[in-house]
Amino acid sequence: MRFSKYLIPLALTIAVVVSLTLSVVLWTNPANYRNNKQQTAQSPQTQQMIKPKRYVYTPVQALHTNADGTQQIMVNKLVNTVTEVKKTMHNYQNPKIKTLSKNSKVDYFRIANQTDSIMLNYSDTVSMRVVNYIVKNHFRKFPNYKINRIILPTNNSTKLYLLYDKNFTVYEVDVKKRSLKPLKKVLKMDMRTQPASFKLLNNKPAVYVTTSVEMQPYKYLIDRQSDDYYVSRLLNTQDSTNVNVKRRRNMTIYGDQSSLQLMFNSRNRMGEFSDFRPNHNRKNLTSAIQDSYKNVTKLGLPMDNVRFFSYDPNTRAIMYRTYVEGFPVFRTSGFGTVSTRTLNSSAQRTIFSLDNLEVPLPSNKGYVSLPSTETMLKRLKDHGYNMKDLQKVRLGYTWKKDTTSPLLIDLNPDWYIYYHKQWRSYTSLMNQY
Amino acid sequence: MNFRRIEIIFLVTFIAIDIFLFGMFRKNMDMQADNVSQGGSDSVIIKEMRNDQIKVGNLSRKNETAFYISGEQSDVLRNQMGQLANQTPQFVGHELESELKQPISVNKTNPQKSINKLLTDSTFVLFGDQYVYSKDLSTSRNIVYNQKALGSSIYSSEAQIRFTLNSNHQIVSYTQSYLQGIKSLRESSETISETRALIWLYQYNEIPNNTTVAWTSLGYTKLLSIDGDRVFIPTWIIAIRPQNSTQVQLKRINAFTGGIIKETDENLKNNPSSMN
Repeated sequence: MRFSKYLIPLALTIAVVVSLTLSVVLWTNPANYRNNKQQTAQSPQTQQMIKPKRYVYTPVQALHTNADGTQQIMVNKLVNTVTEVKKTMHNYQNPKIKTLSKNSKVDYFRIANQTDSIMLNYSDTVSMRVVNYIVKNHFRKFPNYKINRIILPTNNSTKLYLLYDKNFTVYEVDVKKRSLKPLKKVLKMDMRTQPASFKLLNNKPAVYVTTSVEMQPYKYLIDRQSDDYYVSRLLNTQDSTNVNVKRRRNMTIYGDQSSLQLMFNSRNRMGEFSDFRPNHNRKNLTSAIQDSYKNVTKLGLPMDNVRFFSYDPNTRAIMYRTYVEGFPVFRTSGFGTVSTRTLNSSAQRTIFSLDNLEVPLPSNKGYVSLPSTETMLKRLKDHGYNMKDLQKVRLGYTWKKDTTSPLLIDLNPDWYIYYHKQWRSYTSLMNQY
Repeated sequence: MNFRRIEIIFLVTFIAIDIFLFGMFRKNMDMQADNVSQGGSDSVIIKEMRNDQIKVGNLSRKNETAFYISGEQSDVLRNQMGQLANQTPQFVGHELESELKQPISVNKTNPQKSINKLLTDSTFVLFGDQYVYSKDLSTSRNIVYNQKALGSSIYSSEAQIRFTLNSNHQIVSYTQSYLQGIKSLRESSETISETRALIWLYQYNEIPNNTTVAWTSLGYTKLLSIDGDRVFIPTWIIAIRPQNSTQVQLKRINAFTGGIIKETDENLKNNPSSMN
């Protein structure tokens, strides 16, 4: 009896306390007042087309140095070799950086050509912030040095090296001991190899191929994008009635009243987007790359296999190219897939192609043989070219329209040479005189 | 009215209030969970789908890797059909149709177990080891095997064996098609995940309400033909079954681009619309 006397008051007290607590929790919870507005989702197609920075700003070539010092380019076959090597670089713990040497070619090549190592080559100079994209942000505390190459020793689990070509600087990065198994596994993957060596060309480090090169010609189905797609994406101002159109021969020019202009050339299927709104006009390499990435993603171009190719500090032009089998594609004009440029604080320009490679098709053409770097350079020299003018050389593919269908493109292997500030094919240089 | 009665009334009232508040609290937690698990707002859309009475099982978020591949339609089946024993093979339009002289009994519940053994015999079926059983496409009277390709399999009537069974669980005949020289056209690339594929299909309004997603599978399906060559792309194949129905409908999502693939059977070079 005594127990039940207290039971009801006690239960009542508990009930009151619980209701008070719940009331307080509910009232103070911000979720009740949240804005119920849904985020406007991007269309599925766009989401897939946008590739992350670590995909676009990536080394494009992997060079393996064996235990006996011989070197070979790891050419993509069933896997993308660079991607596979990059996968092993995601968890460097406690990285520390120091400058090993500067202005010493001997030290530079001693590190670069060390036995049992893999060298990852960027197509052009990048900054540490950009290298940071591929190592999952583990290098974020490093000074923003300029970098061209990464050396990953396959027999040293605590060190890697970063190289800058211009003044032959070698940076050593010490990391916590890691397993080398994943890296060694990559070397056993199914790939083609091409004998090569890493040495100077016109006083600049370059990868030479030492034997003649067998390369596979390709046929590709292209993805044809209409003008309208870009008009609606890029000139998407508050009211679309403001967009005016002018036509002149094979040019179509769309513009809003003041600051945006979109120009299409129906003959060579190129588009040019000019943005005259104020921009940050940033001049350093890292900012230039970041601004460029924004502009390219805004464009909505399919970025499948499109990679950063070059940055010209004078014009601040950044070129991106599509890579096939690990080799860049060049059009007859030397153009790639898309390029961005900041002219001044109130003008930015993006040039892009309306036709882009989509699906590779079976080609029954056999492999094409290209001469080795030395042979190629010697032939050009014999042809009357000054060696000093041949600044950079690359193996690449020439974009050529297929005769049977406008939706097909032939890609023919060729040497490409940076000659008088323009990428020219070996064939065109040889045919010039 | 004594004090005790008042106490009881208050107690009942407060317990009712507690139950109500607790219900509110639970609902609140759910809303927050939605906000937190915004893994690309995927879960929100999946929930939306469930609200539309679309039944979906557990989905994988893993991105796979796959290739563009090609294979060639050839007469190799015709050239080698002489070695087939105890059957009358006929080669019609790139397909081998064969009737068995003696029906062969197979396992009643799992016919594939018996057929897997038979496929190793090259006098029974040509290139049998290059095919793999497809549970999804098979029915009790029609057992389907797909041709294997680079770690996956091809979903196409041009690379398939279909066994016809009679009511006594015996194979009476089969039809075979075969693609020769299957190879990758480019190094592997990452595909979209199963979840993404389903979400995009939903966003394209291709999944009607009141349906069940019966199965999904990543396989190769035909993109186009160039003369004898066939080009295949990795595809998320999604089978949708309306409620109260046994028929499934197959939808295809390009596993590289996420675009929907409509049924077409065009030969690139013979298509007049692409020739201008």
